[in-house]
Amino acid sequence: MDTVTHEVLDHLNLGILIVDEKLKILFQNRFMLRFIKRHSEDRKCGSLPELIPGFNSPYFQISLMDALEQGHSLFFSAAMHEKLIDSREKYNIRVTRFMEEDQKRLLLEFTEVTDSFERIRQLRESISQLRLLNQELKQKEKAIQSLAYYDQLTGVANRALFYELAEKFLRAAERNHEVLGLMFIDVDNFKQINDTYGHEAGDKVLVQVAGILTAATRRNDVVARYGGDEFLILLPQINAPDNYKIVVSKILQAKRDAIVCNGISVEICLSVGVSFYPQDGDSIDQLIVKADRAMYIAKKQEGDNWYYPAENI
Amino acid sequence: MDRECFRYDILSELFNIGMGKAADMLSEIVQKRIALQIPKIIIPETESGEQLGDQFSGFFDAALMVSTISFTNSLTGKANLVFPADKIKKFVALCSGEGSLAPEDTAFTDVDFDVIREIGNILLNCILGELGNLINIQLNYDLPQVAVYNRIDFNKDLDGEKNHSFMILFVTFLIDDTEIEGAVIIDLMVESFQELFRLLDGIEAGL
Repeated sequence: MDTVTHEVLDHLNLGILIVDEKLKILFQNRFMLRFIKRHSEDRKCGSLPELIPGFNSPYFQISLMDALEQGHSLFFSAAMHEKLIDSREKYNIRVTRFMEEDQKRLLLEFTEVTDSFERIRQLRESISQLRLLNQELKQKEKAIQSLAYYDQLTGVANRALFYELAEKFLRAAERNHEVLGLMFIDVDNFKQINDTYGHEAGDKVLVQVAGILTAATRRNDVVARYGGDEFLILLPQINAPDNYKIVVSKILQAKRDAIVCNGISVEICLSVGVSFYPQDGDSIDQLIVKADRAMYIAKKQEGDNWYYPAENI
Repeated sequence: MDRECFRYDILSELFNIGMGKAADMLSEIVQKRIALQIPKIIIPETESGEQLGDQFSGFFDAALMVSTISFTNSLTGKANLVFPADKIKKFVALCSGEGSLAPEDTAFTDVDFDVIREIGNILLNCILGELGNLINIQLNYDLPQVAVYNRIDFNKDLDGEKNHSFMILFVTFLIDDTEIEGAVIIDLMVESFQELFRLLDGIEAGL
């Protein structure tokens, strides 16, 4: 090998090794010195397995002999042969046969890919951090959504969510020619409870009422706190006119004692008014007005725990 | 024996031997039991008008990672090892002992390409080596090129090849308890295809 070629190979940023048919090293460039740990400046050429003992394994022996015989190129990836080279650095190895006069030679190129591995490790770390961040964001988004759409005291839908769902239910009822029921529920003597036992007691009563209403309704019904001590229930897809009575009866039969403070329990009394699309109105506001009126009539005429269908007004 | 059947049988045996060798090599490298199964060899009729891509319908419906060796000399053509891209991450993890993967880890890296290049090198080397040994021919080829294709583009590439004939081997890799399906597509110039069959017929005549 002439001096210029030698010099050029020594300046390459990859390892170059040339071996003969017995895997004896004929040439190694300066880059390869990093594999000779004990004699860092010793460029004495031994055999390939002496330099890198991993090449003693049957797989490498067979592959290298096959490459010598058949002339096929080989590729050994750092990922699949992590332990081949005892070094922190990672190398891909490419093997090519060439002929020097009548002699078969193998050229081995060692390309450092440590940077790729490090980049991938960092990428994985970033992905993992992003995943955690994404989870946190989803949780926060859920919390924000909950704040925007749910009543913080009782956990049922707030007025915003009620209107959003009510419009959807109304459009579906129009489209499918279905009956949509709306209940207006008011807690009797709520002001008195507040004045007598305090606002904390009043809050406990409202939580209990929300629980009663939720338990009495079907899965697709929507219970919402309309404001103060007023609740609304949307009853979509009422097939038979009297179906709403089942819900009313469940509300009325529910256990009504709320423990408000110091073991004192207060009986909860509710007044319920009902209206229906399409007979009582074709907008949500009209249905609310009708159900509200029915509720007031129920409260005045029938006393606690009763309801008054809007069509009877 | 029917000549067609003989050709299929001899090719099946040849590919099975090649696959067996490749499986042994891969098992040694990854220190796991790897088995390679070839359920069937398909040689699509070029005259039937059926699109080659139709053969893959149901097998590969999305992106593909393809490792390709181009060979010349006695036969001219390409050998492709094809994997559905969505299985590559798992395959690479199993082969490189990386362990479990995060579900979001879907972008291909240099390492994925390197591993598929090496597996393609081993497998296609074994198949082409066996083919060369059996019919006593010399094939010249270099290392595989690895690329990711949209399935439609890959089909178009195959279907657009004029004067080519194909052999398709659907391959199942069994690594421990995991099955990963792939395919080997051997794409030969028509003259090389005819030459291959002429050489196979010569073997039959010699039996």
